[in-house]
Amino acid sequence: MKPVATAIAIAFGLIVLLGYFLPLPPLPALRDTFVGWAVILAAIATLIGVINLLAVHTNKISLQQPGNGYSLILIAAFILTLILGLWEILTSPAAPLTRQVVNSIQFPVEASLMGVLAASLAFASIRLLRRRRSLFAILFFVATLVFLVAGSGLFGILNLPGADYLQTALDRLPVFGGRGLLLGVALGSLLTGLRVLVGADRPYGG
Amino acid sequence: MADQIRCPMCSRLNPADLDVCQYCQARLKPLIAGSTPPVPPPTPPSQPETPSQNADQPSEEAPDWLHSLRGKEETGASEWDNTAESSSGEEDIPDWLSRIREKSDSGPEETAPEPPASSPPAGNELPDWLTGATFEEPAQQSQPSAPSGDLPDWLRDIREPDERSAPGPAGPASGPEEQPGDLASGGEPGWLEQLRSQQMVSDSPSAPPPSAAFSPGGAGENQIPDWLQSSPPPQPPQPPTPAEGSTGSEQPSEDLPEWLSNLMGEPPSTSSEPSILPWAAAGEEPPAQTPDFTMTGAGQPMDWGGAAVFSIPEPGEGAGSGPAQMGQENISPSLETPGETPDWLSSFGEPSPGADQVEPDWLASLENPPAQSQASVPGEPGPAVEEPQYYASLQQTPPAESPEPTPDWLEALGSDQPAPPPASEPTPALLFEESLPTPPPGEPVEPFVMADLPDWLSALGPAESGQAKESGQPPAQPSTPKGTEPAEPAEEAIVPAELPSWVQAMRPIESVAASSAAPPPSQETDQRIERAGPLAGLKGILPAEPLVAEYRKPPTYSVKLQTSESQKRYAQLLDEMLANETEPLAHRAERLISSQRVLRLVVGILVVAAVLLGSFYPFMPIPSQPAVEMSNLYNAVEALPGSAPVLMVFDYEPALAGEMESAAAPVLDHLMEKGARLSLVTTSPTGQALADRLLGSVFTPEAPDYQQPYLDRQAVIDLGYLAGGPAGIYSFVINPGLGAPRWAADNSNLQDVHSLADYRQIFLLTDSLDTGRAWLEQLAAAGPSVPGLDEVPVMLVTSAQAAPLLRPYLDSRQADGLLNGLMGGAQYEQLLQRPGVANRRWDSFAGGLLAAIVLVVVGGLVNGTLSLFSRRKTKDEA
Amino acid sequence: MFTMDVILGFVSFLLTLLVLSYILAGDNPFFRVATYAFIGVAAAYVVLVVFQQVLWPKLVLPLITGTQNGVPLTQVQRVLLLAPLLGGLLLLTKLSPGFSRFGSFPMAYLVGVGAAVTVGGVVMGTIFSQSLAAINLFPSLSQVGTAQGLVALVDALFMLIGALATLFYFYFGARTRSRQPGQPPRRSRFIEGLAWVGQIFIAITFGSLFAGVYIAALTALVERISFLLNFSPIL
Repeated sequence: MKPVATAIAIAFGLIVLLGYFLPLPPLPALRDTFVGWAVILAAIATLIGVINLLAVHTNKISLQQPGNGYSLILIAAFILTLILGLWEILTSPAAPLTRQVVNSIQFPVEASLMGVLAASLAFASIRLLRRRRSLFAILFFVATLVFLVAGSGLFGILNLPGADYLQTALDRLPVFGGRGLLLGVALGSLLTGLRVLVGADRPYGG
Repeated sequence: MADQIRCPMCSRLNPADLDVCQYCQARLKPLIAGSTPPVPPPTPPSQPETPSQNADQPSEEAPDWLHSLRGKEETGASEWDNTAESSSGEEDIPDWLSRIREKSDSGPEETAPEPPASSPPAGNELPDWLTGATFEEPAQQSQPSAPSGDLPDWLRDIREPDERSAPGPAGPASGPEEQPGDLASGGEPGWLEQLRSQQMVSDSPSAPPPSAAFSPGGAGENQIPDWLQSSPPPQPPQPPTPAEGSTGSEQPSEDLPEWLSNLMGEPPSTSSEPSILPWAAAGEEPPAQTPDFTMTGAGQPMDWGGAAVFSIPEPGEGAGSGPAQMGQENISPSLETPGETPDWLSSFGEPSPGADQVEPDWLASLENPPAQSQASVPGEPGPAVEEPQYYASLQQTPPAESPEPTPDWLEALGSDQPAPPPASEPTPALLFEESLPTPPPGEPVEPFVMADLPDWLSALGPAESGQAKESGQPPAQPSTPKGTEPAEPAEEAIVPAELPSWVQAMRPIESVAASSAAPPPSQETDQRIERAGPLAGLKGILPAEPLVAEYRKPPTYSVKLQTSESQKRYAQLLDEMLANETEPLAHRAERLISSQRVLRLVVGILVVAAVLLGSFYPFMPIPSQPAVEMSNLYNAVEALPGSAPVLMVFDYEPALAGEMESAAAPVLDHLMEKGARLSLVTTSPTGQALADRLLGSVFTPEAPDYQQPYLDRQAVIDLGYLAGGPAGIYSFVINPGLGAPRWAADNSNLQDVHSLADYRQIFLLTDSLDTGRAWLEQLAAAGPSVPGLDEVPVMLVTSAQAAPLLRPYLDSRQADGLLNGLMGGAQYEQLLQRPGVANRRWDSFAGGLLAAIVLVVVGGLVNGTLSLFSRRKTKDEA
Repeated sequence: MFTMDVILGFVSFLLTLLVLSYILAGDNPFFRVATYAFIGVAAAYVVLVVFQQVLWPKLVLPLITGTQNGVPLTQVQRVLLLAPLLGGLLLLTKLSPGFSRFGSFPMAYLVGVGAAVTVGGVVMGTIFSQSLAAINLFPSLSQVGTAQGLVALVDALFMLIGALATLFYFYFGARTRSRQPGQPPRRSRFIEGLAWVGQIFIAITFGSLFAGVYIAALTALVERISFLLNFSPIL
């Protein structure tokens, strides 16, 4: 069973990859077909993840584990939202309520969590030099301050000579290292993908 | 049997007419005096012929060879005359011995007959060399006595020199100088020369007493050795030589050769025949009286055939009876008084220390002498039952010092200590066939060459060694002269070498064999008596039962891994380390009130306060100079024609929706103003909801005309959610009709849009690097497949956290414009001159940002200073 | 009066306060209620979107009607849709421990196709483009003499050095030095020097990223506070 799975991954992967670089007649069609199947399977995989989430919390409720009350809230919110959505699908109302519910619940929570992060990041920035005092830690601290100041628009407000150039330079400065980071990330992704295509890595259980 | 000769080497019977053994090629008939004669088949011991022959015999037992010598003496032959001593009744007593006995019997000192020292055991035969047959033809051995005229060559040689009366140096009186090797060299025996010389010397008054050489036991002069005394052996061997026993030792003093005279303690004879026994010279039979040493304790002649001086003890009889033992025995015949044990014979009786009292056969026979032999010897003194002095002398400790040097060959017979270096030529051994190598000084001289020993002598070795093993002592090695090969008892077991105890202790096999219940196989094999099975009662067989009993169940080895304590500790430690890797770290419960929590609370409050202050009191102007990339974006949108199809990708999360709305709202407003036909697509499940939110936030009451269609969804088409990440993007880019789940070709917004290349602009609204990179990469990868796609400008509207890493795509022309965060939106609104969300939030944003900057600067300086002081303090403490 | 907008607004307001209570009280039950409710709603919404936006229009409807997005499908295309259907069913076996091994096949297919798409995009979308961009920054020789050309040249040099130095910082290949057998493996001095320079660029880039994150977070906070301020009068 394991060799079959590995063969499937390698075979379909190589066909799609060849379709990227070789515009030969059968390859683009195959590529499009296989990619279309992958989209469907990816959606099903997303459903499996949600089902697993529900199973975990349901089990937590059934076993009366600590924190099962929160799991009950989760299950309840899920069911309510699902019912609402299914009703909208079936009825197709003019004003879909589901999106409003999402915008009213999901967006505020996530945005609020991000806002709390602002206070935590400020607190972490204050204690940065107390934990690490190397040259690069200091450089990082200084760069953070500079870019915070640049992001606040203070340079433009002060109308300092050469403020534009300074702003341009500050905008340009992270690009020097950013390109290297992009290339590094790209090379790592490339290597990981090739390892999967040659069968060296088998994260699918093969 | 009479026509067969037993080989002295391999003990096999050979025809009598052979000179050399047909099996081992050893000579059957010695060529020179003293060579081992072929052992005739054992004959029953005969009565001693004349008691006078045993006058000089010691009362104790005598070795067989001596016994036979006595027999020869009685017959009147020379000492090496192999004529049978018929008077003695022994078969193998040479004539000269018989004559000696006769003469010794007639002497004053010699006429004290003594019971035979030993009696040959019944059934044993005298060695051929002591019998007449030794130097005779085989046919002559069967005769009761050797013919007087049939003298061996050596004897004739003796007589001839005597007849010539050749002067010579001191002979045997000077001591046992003559080496056995002299005879082995093939020349005239040294002793013979001595005899001649003695005869010569005896004529001179200055000659030392010849008895000194033969009376190491402190015998006085003129002493007749016991073995020469007339002590008729109980069963003297009957050599075929008629001369044996015919003339005894009735007149030993005058007719005895010089060396014999010395043995008897008499001055050397001045007779015309000094070198040979009178009886031998006269051609008479040797005195019938056999030497005491040749007699058994009961006065019976010793049977030299079966038991000899070096008789082999029976297995199990104990150690100490082998030739070594016998060799160590200090045989010192006593010539002091008749009847007393000669010193040199007394030294015979000394058993080796530690040796069991294992009697040789001839000794054993002396204890139980046959009754016949007692009466057959005329003049035999003493009761037959009395233990002959000769035998007793075997048990006695030899004297530490001897006034007269003991002949080497005599000392080697039973001396415990190595014989002293001979001052002169030692007396040659009685038994030898070939020239013998001269033994090194200090070593005991063996009278018998082990290579030439008959079977009954050679067989002493193994048993004796076995007995020595039992006692834990090394076996008494037969003191053989160097260079000589020991006799190989072909049919007897070879005594294994005895290792000293300290060597045995070092043997590694001991520790392994210690747990074994089985005793040493050799010892067990040799000594163990089988108690079970069909071979019960036998000795010397392989133990069958113990072998079977030794079969044990094979050891069962545990399948469990045997580990030591240290290994268990290490394994446990490794388990703990591995377990700690998977176990989550214990989260310390945070205290309700702590300095860290207070500081975090203060920081949060300050930031929120600054935000509130900024929202109430605007103080921060918006930077007027936009960035280049933002200007490009503005210009691109500005250049859009009316109702241009524009694709907008909503790939941001609800968490950063506030910032994204601040940045994208003016752009969307600008697009609305341009009347662009918007196509919305997202790779996030919440993208469509966020798009709805954005469209609603853009609505401004100030510009309701162009914004209404977007609010009514007439100018906007939602293409749906793209699942699968990059795969979904690629699928959409390649073929939007199939990739987009809600592609509606009949939709007016898509009337001239068939591929992505048909869009005038693509706006990518993203808050993360991964999403932006995926879209840009797939757009670039699909370029060859979608013609014209490379020319479609792509505008980036990003969050402040993704902007630094998405800027490089501006350099690669994969993106044409970039709008970054709240400040970018505010600047874009300035360009539009329509303040919007960004403008409303700018002051709050600026206030909060400035507060954060101040807090970070102040807090960083303070913490940095505190850390410096704490480091110095730590260093000082250290 | 209590329109849906008001109700939903109130819910948003309440949830916002519950989450912002983390600043004051840390991890508290109100905060957890808000987060767990958010997860439930989000999970349900994902299910709805996936089913409505993917499975129905791309799998179920074409199999039933034979058309996709109004476009009729051929019989071959329709039959081929059975493959993702079968794969999806096999993928559902991942939920069962006993039959999860059958889900390896569609997972392998997903991993293989995803790896191929990633490799293709990375190669053509980042590696080639970024490398060419770094090269194309260098001005032509004719422009070097001008001020702009010089600035461009300096910019290009910085860009090139920065990119290379950053890449070399992540190069960890080292050799054991024969002259110092007891020492751990170390990189060569040239690489060590470039890595040190790369650390500088990385520190600057990370500083800008951190600043951007803070700015984004602060913007979110500002938006929430603004919402609270705008909604509170309604209450």
